[in-house]
Amino acid sequence: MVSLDFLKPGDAGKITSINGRQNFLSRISGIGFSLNEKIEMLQNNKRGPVIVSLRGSEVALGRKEASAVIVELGRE
Amino acid sequence: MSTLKTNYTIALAGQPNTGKSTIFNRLTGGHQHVGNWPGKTVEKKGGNFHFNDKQFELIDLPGTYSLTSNSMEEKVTRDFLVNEKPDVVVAVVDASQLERTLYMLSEIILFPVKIILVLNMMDVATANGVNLDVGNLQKELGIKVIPMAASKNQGMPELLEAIDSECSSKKEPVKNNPNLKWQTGDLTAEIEAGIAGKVNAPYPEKWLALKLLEEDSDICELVENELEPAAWDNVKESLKKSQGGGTLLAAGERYSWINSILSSSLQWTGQSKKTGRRHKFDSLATHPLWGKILAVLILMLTFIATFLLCMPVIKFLLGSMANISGLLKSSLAGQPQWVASMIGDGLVPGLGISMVMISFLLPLFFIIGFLEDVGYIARLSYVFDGFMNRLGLHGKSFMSFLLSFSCNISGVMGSRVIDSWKQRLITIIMTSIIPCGAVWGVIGLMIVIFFNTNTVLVVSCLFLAMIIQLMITSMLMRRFLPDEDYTGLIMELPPYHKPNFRTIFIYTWTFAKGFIKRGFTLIAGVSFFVWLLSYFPNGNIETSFLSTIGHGLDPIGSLMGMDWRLIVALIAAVASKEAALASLAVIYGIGSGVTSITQIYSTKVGFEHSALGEALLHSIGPATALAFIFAFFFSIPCVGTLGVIYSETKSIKWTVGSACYYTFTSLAFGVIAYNVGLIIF
Repeated sequence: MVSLDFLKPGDAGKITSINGRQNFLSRISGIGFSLNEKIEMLQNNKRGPVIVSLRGSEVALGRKEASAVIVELGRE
Repeated sequence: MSTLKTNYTIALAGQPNTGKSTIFNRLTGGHQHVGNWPGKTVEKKGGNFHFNDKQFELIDLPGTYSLTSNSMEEKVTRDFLVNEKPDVVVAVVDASQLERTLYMLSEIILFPVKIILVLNMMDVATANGVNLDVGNLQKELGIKVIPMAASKNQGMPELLEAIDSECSSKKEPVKNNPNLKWQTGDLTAEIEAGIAGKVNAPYPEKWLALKLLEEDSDICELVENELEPAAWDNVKESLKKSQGGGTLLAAGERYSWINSILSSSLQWTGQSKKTGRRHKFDSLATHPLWGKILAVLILMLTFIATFLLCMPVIKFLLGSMANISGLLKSSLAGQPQWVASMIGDGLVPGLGISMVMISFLLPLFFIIGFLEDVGYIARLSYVFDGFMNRLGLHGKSFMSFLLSFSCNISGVMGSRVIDSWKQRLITIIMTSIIPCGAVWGVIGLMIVIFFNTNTVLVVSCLFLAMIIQLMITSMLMRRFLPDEDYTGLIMELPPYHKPNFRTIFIYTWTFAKGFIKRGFTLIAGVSFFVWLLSYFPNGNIETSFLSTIGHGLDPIGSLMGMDWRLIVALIAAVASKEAALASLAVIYGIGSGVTSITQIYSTKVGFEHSALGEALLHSIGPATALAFIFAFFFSIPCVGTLGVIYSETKSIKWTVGSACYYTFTSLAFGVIAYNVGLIIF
């Protein structure tokens, strides 16, 4: 299991946990993140925010925010 | 029999980027009014429409992703749903992103209100391979479902019919609907049982239970006040079992509901779009380097295009202003001289400036509306987010700052793309720190006259001071407006859309109306006031109230080594930055034939820049010049900017507050520069 910011473009997996304060969790939930949801990395430039795809949408996530999302790698 | 109700309130709710405003515009046309929610800085948009001899008031609720108490926008939405009890709530989702956008419905559906679900962007969804059984979805949800493509005007008659029939339907929505196919989690059920029948509030119990699980601060407080201490302790015990994961549990429950609703209605046919392949343009637009270059190019083009579009109009306006002013003055020849001057030099230029501004703002706003409508703004914010974070701001503020270098007014307007009001307000106020083109024109001349060989050094110092000023102001603003909701960058990158010109036109028109109502009057008023000061008591600027004020400010001026003339030039810059040079020329007696400062706008003041340079060089020292350059660089926003600050914030407090703040900081920078100058020179 790795945090989202370590995923390379094309890597996909399932969200196993999300860490953070209540308002962060509630914001990130509202935009589509939830436990056991499939997620795919689209853009990760080692610095700066990442772009992921989940629930049919593209979402930009700050690096710090991405590191709070823990993912189990692998496609179903 | 009682008379039939013919006035209904309809609320429009949905996540951002679901095409909610397109539907709002389609329904209301130009009949919109914009204000603020009572006691809030959140914008409230309303409009009217008629259908089947009935009148409908449509309220556009802020576009938010959920209904927690984390932001003012979300609080406004949920308070409206429970307190104002709209007759029908129209919930808008993006049919091509159902699994995500239905999240808002999963919150609203628990409320005892009549709901119509609009599946917008059906055309895009179908093209993407979404196969949706609308009839089945309607059955599963137990509410009316209307497929639409609002940008193509498809589905509007059906929506109107649905609104009408729901409004006249006798069926009352039930609180705590038992028919809802909701798989309540064990913990939610436990909390729900713990508060059942004990909370006297308009909120449904399942919704309350989920909000408690989410640790929503407002709801926790409400329930704590409603429950007996023992019962609240029980609820708290249950909440502890989530081990801090309550927010995710609640969200999981909502998404499970969405999945269960969709499982029998939604099918992906053919090529699923979830392959992770990205659009070529998007890869460029979000590239860390090329994306930034592209953004700056697009914004420069925006400005150039705006100028090309408005220049002929402005030229015409400026040309006719002098003529109209002259014509009015000669026709008023029989009247006392002050009447002619008031109309010719006071009113005409004041109205003229406002009109020039509108002709500049309309094309600018249209282009910004276009960039937002096609979905580009989110990419621009993405590439500049890290950069803006260093100033404590979001990526979306970048556009405002860059546009401000050409004109602060466009910077204030550019803030419209920021969806959080707090962030937007901070950006609006801070754009005034950026020196606009006109400021450079004035200080450029001063720098060349006084610091010819050290131009680069002076300009570097100005930029350094600007960054310090940005950081201090941002810090102060965040102290005043603590942004607890700040959670770093979590932003949807909406799919690119074909622009919908109708939406953009109405958007532009609504803005123009708001500007005319507030900005126009403020600008005309202040210009008129400046005229009053510079004309009275005897029609000579050198003995006018303005110079009296200038003399009165001598103690402050002496801190910067300035005499009344430079102070007056600083005051005149309030009306327009460009006017400062001409004012100086008038005061130094180089420009002629002018009796008041505002006349400068309508009459070209003929003066030689070199003559002004000579005069300045002989009357002030380099330390004073440096003080003037710094004070002018950071001077109070011009009246045009104040006008849009007022029309955008709708707050006299913020408008006057920012004027006072920048007056103070301008003087502070002037004093510092003067004293540093005294040491150096």
